[in-house]
Amino acid sequence: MLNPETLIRKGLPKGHLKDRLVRVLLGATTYFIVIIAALLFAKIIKDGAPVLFSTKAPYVDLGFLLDKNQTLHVFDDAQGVRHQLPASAYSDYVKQHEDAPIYNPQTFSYSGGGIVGPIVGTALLTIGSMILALFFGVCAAIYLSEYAKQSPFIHAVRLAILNLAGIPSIVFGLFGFAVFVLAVPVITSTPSDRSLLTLPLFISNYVISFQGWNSSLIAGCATLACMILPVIITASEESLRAVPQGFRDASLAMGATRWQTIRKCVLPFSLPGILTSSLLAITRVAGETAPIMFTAAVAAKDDLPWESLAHPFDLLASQVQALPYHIYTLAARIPASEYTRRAQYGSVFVFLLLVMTLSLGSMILRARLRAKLKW
Amino acid sequence: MVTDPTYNAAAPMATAIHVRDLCFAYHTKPALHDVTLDIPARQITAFIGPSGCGKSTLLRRPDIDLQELRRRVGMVFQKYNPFKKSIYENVVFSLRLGGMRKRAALDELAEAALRSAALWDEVKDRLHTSALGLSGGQQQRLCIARAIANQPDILLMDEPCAALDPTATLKIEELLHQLKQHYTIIIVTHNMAQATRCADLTAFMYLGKLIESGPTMHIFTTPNNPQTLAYISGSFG
Amino acid sequence: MTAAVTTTKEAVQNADLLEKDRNSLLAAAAHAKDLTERQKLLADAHASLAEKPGIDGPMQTLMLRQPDCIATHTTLHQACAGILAKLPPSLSQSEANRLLHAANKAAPLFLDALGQAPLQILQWRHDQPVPLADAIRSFLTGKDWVTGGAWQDFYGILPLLIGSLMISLVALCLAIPAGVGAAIYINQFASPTEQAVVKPVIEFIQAIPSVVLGFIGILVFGTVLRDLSQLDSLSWVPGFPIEERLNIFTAGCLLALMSIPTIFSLAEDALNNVPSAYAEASDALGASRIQTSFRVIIPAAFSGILAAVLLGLGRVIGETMVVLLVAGKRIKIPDFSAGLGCWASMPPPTSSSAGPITNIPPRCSILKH
Repeated sequence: MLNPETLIRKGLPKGHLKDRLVRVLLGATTYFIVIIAALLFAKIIKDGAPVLFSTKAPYVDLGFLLDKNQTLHVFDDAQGVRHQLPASAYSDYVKQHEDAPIYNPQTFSYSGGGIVGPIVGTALLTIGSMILALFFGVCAAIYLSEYAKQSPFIHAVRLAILNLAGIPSIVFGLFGFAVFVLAVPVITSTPSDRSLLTLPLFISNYVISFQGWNSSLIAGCATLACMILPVIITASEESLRAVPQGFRDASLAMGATRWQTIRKCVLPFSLPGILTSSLLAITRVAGETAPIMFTAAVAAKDDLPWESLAHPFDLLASQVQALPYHIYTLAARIPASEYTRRAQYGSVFVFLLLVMTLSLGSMILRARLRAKLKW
Repeated sequence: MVTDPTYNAAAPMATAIHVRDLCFAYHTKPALHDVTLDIPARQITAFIGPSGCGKSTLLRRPDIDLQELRRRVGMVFQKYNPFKKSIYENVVFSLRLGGMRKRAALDELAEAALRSAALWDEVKDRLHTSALGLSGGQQQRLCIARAIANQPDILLMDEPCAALDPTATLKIEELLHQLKQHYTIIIVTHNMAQATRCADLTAFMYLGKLIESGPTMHIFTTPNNPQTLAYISGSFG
Repeated sequence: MTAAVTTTKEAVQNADLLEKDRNSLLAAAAHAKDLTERQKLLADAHASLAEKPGIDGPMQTLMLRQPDCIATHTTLHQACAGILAKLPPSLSQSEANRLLHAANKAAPLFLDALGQAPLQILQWRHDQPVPLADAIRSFLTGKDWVTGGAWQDFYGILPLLIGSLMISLVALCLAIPAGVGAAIYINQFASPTEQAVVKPVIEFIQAIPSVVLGFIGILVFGTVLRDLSQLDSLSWVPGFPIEERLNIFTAGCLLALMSIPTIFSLAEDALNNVPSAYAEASDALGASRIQTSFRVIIPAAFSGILAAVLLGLGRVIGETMVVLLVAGKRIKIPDFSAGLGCWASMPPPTSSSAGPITNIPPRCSILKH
């Protein structure tokens, strides 16, 4: 080799500065993103944690979690002491101090009391939509992967399901509004004026009236179920496919029918995958606002959904409060002031805690499942 | 743990690389022990031996500029791997790395490299089409052209014909005979017939040690070492 | 004249409602079993029968005023043209000058509209329905979106579409460099510990619900951004200082934060899928780390990175809550002649449908009258 001494590097290598610069620039971009996210979480935790957690046992402000949402009254009394009371406490105060004058009264909607209404509403919506979505989704997945013959039509169906997964949630909200709130059939004896079509049922004077379920829990659950159906179907199909064909062959060889094979040999082994995707779906359902805005959610409701019901089934027909919609109300519909901060940041903190825990859980489950899924 | 290989700015037709007591280890696992041999300039040296005996080496002296070293040692791999660019861009890649920008100079060197690799006539009309559209043998020749575009001192080839069919292999071997007029070639192969066809000097390595080296005809007809004899007659391999 | 027309319109609408009520009561009466109930329903039905007000009378009155209207328009047109011709090219005082320029800009459109008015007045027929093609055309190209208007509703989708596109553009301009840059760093230059720590953190951002981001935007980020823009050192940025807390730029920043994890994970996957043979070949030719990354690996992964960007765009365009909360409430095409500073407030179609849906009474119809 000619002149091997030129191989020995004298000083820094050529292009070293440019190399450093590029690394620093890209690294700065990456860490900038991380820092912004950290600041976001920090702000919410800083302002929201004191609302939820307290320094005394039981370390959690159960009042915030279990009280109903009320209007906040802020006023000064004769001694100049400023009081902040939720509506029920305010009426008690007024009753007790009938002759005490009240100065500078202000009211802030939605900012007093607690958030049990939204929490309960979100829980009901999640349970209802998961029941619907899991039933239809797993059945569809079983049909698509076990029974259906591969044909262009089935390919088109799969493509349609994949497409559905990318549609924005507001479109589902509008779909739910147009279909479930305004157009689905109801069996009733008194059809409303805006019914699209009435078909007589020949039992007393009942008709099938296409008038929709109105804004209600069932409409919200149906809309949310439609939204997460693609996720459940694709994940369930994947888990069903992951079960080795050998299991099915062995079962069929022993004389079991197709359905028995699926029920006993395939479905139990694909359950972990289905459950993991369900957790992902629950995270999505709990966190979405747009689909429930016009189909189920209401900003102010005095009673919990199961109180003051004429008939148990009316639970499905009642509107509910929901945590994401409550946050939207707190952010958009009331002015920001020091008195509303507690309600605003406390609600966001509880909501974020809930969604992030679910999300973290699903990430961990998915990682463990991937590691475990070796036959 | 590496002891210094020394390089000799020697006259042509003499030794290109002196290797003295070369030891090499992957982390703590020793791979090469006390390798001592002279690799002659402008000849083809073949390293034969069973797979995994430590034929590929790496130099890690801390103050050696690896990039400069890599530019002066051309390398051709077992599985041809042209970049997902045009044929022209593949060949001038290392020239551009060195900072050359003049289109005329690049064109000239590219043509020279492709002619040396016996590929020019086949691709001169489609220099700017994708390199992945060539056949396997053509892609390997493109990799050779890419390696010699920067006019390295030494050409290292790690089983270059392993992924090719016999016709393409023959073409590459003919190419090697032409290339050795300008470059020192070190070829690693487990195909002993190829070593007999191509190499001037052959070195037999086994379990990290250099067992024997010498002129090819001597190794394959009357080797000194009984292990060499056992390998070439197929007792193990 | 306005009062008379409004009253007539309301009267006709009321009559329609009463007619419907009457029909349903009659239908219920036909099904009623009980005689007293049937009679009660029939009585209610008759009570609900209102005289449908004739519109011929008011219409005649209106048509008599037509020549007056046309004459007024023509006079106004001539007078305005005359005044505008006499305006000086510029004025000394800055505020007056600004108003002068605004007037000059709006003048041609105004005179145009005035000139066309007499023809439109003559062509108007009260009983001619709006053809479907016209309705569709005015939906797709109309420049006004007015719901719950006092006089009439206009449904032109152009301002909403443009707002959506503008917000997406801002979001992507911020998100593409950040997301792709982070992907390149993490995949090519970061140490294994950095990879193991930063990747999950960025993917975790994806799980933040959009309403939380909108909340932060309205309560914290808008104010922070506005205060930041007041700094003198940043006055060279076009559009700074910002006066309005809720605008396209704020929404764009938040949407960028939402789409960065999508772009990041998919771009990183694309870079990972480049076969290692390319990197090895490039190394063997003596390329340095950045040369290998930028000349070989990134071009090879380019289609994957493009796919990542498109999916990020899809996420951004479909986002509702952030925009509903943060982009403001004005529905208007922003003034592009203000240059890059046209970050006026405006909601795109995804969010503006949330508002009107709750406002439109189910019985309104624009095509009927």
